[in-house]
Amino acid sequence: MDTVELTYRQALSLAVTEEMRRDPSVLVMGEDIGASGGPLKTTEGLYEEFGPARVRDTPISENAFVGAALGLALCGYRPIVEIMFADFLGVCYDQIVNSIAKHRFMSGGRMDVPLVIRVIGGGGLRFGAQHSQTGETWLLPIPGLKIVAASTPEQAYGMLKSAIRDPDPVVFIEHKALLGTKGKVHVGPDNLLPLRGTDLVSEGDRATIVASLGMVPKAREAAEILGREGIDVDVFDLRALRPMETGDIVESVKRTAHLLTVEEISLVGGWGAEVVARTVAEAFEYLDAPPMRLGLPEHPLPYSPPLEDAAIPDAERIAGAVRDMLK
Amino acid sequence: MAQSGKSARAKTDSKALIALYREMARIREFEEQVQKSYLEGLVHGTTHLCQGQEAVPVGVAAALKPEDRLTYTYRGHGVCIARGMSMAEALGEIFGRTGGVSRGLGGSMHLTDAERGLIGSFGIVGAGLPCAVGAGLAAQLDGKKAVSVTFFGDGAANIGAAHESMNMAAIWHLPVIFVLENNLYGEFSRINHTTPLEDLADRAAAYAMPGVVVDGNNVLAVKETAQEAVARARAGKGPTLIEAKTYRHRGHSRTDPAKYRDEKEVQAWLARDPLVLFAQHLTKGKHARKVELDKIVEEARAEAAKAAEEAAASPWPEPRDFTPETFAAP
Amino acid sequence: MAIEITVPKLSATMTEATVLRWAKAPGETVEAGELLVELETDKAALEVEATDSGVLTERRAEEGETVTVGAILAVLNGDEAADGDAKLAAETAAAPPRPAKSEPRKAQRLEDATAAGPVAPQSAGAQSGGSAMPGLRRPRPAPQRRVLATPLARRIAAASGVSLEGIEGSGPRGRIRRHDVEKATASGRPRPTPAMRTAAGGRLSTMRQRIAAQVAESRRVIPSFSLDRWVELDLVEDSRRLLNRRQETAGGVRLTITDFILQAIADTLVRHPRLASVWRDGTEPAIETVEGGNVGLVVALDDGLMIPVLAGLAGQGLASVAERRQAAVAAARGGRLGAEQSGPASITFSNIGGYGVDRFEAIINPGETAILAMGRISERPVARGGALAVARGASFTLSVDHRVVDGVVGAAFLGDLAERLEKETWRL
Repeated sequence: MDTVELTYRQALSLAVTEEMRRDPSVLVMGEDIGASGGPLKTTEGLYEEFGPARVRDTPISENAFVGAALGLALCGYRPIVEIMFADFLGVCYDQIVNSIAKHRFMSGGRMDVPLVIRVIGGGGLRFGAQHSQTGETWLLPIPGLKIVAASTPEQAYGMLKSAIRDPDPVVFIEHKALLGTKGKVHVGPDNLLPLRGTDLVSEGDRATIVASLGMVPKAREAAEILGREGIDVDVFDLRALRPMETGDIVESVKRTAHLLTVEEISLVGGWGAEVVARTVAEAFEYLDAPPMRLGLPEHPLPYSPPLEDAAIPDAERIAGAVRDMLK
Repeated sequence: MAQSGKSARAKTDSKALIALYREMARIREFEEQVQKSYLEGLVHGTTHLCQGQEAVPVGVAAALKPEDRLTYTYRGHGVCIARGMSMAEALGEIFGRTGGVSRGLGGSMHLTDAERGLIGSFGIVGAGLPCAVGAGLAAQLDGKKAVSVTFFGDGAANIGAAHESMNMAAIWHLPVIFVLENNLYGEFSRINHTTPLEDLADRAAAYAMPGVVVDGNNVLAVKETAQEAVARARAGKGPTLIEAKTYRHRGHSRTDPAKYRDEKEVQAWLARDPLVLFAQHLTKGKHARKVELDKIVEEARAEAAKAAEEAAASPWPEPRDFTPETFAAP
Repeated sequence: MAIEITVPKLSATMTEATVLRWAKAPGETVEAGELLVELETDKAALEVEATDSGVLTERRAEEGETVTVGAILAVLNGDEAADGDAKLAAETAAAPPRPAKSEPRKAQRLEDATAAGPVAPQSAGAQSGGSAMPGLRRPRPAPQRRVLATPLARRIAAASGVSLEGIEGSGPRGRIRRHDVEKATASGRPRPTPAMRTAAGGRLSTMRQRIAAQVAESRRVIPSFSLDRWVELDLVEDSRRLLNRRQETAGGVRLTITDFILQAIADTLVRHPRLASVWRDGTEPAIETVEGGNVGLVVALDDGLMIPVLAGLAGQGLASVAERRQAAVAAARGGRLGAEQSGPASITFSNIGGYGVDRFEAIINPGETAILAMGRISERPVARGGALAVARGASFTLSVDHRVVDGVVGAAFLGDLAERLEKETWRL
């Protein structure tokens, strides 16, 4: 295989398939991820190839199967659990933040916890308030976790492979509205993408936009809109939320003097504030305007389409924010 | 309905019996030493002691092999000592020193030692059950007949994680032994205020696994019950719930004087001290003389005291030199 | 991508500048921050630096030509900056250490991303026949910014009319903070620029009133006459170029023509004490010496001027003169002169040649004895040893107070000054 065009969900399945072939200790658990290939079809083909021992349907027991992933990881396995909707992180929150994230530390560094928690989140599909979180920030403040967010099939593929091979717990956030998007993927057994660092997806000198997950394509669209108006901008896909690296963002802002973050999550406690704080600390003298953030409003996501759409930042709003900042 | 556990039969080698007594004595003296050290200001925060419950970890540990895995709770010093954790390293950890088993990073509630199968000590009630289920699944996938054991209390029996774990272990036929130490109190609440059951093992049927009630202060009964459950698990017959009825001599934690307990109840259980009961059994059965058993207790006390000295001499971690070790691949 | 360098506006009243000297030729690579061209305006040389790195493709004005503020002065081609990638590579190398697990990241243009060859060293794509995963794309490096200042400092500097150049920052990374700007304005409090009023019916600013009073007084009291001399400045210009290279290496202030003139005046004053004296009126008039080689410098401001004194220039090297000149100009632009800039002087230098006048006669500052006015630098045919040659020079007009300086004395001073400028060597 060379460079193939895959959907995001195909990229996920392919990554898992390759890693399961490569390493017999890798296994997958989750609700309906086995014979049915996953409620969002993110594990298609796995059950057929690897069977029920390694591709396991679980009862509706997030607490148990996420905690079981810890046990498996401590006993030489590399489990991948799928959380069907990011909102369900609430059910297994204790296992993730108190057990998984802290286990290695509390053991004085003597035990490794190699596991991946795949979290499918994101709004815009009219699933309502309890099925639309991206989950990006629910685990953000927790040291001991690595958190990444893939915005393209290639990122999904390369980062998931890295996550599976990583000896530490990785929360792998996916966006359900992106599952069907297509993209070029450089397929290869050891084609990995790092779990750290940002990716520059658009270039320009007038402003710096940072986005994650579903906001990345919107930011790119905004960049095109602005480009037609003669305003070229740098757009960064944040990619890795924990640990977060903002070196390239800062470098960009030193050139553009303007920063806008766009996240599909509440601004309070969002990652945008972290990016802003770091940028101000390191590029204080280079800013020509206070950094701006776009995010979700301070209420749960509404079901009704016009209300849900109004709540989630789109390309026009992003472009508008940049224009306002440059005024 | 749950079955009553069998009372202990004789016919075990005296040496082995004395070994069981020694283990219980070591745990008792270890916990007493922790208490002493606490009063000397060497133990920080709080600690949860298991005096009075020694027969359970000792009996269960006697049924296990080195390759088996265990998860337990913040009241788990006994499990660790029973599995052979060094007293000095355990105390070092409880004292917060670099010589501690986790370099002082975990503390009393988080004593672990992967090499002895002591894979997780959980401070969140019930959090250890899912981990044990995972270890049981690992054992099943390994195909080498190892088992996984989890110790938890009557309070934990009511938390979601416990129900989820037992259900999942049953549906997957996992080799997990659920050891429920019912000491009648979930923190300060007596069980009759929180749970509408006399015998928690009755719930086993609801989880489609055998449930056994055993006298948790009878080390031989515990051992035999555990052996049966372990044999089932190794044979691929799935999980078992063992409810060991026992009692803690002290309060929930160091700061708890346990005034919520009825004095008569306390006295009744003190009279059933597992060490006292087993000593009687040994002397009556002519397996050992009282003076030997007393010596064993003295030796255990001395061992614990020496370990405390060693632990207290271990250096404090230096914040400047501290490396968090949060990630294996930073 | 084409990078346009425009003529910057140095002061509110600046509308034009003359291209004095191009430092780069078409085809040459220019680094961000490097000198591109010298302009002359507002009695001082203005150095225009490239804002980005690139190759100079177009020069939109010739030397000697006048350019307007905001007009495009030069065009660079940023894509072809050969050094850009090297700089980026160096910055990548200097990036914080990456964990062993992740790939080192290499800079790439977006267009090149999919076409790039193997960049990920751990990719075994070659083995399987697959193509390697491209690395993460990184932004272009930010241009080096020499002036780092807090927003508050900038605001105060702008309100005071002070340039941030030359202010030393006391903050981290040399950051200029409020305190530094206030120190530089030497008053502790920023002076707002005097309000401008229209000629029709507006109130005069303090400065305009002051200027009016002084020039009227000068004309009324001082019986002056003037002497002219056209001075060749080839040697001065060559020396300036040479010495400025040294200044750049040493991180010193860039020398301007004014610095040379100021040093020459100070040096010549030593041999002509009458020019270093002033008339003291009163019941017993006297001629008093002003010690130390103090020279005034006319600094043009928005609708006005200020004359800071550069004290003690005697024996000072050009580097020192330049520093004081810079500080004095900054102080004057800040509206408040420091104590040492308000001291006595016997002679002032006025250079408005940049505006295009050949010669002019300046008005002596009351309390002083002389004023030296310099016209524009231009080329002239000259006769040397019987043959025609071309020399660059300017007209100097010395106006003197006849009560203190007679014709011969004045002429001798001017002649010596000219000799000094035309023939002698310079020291930093």
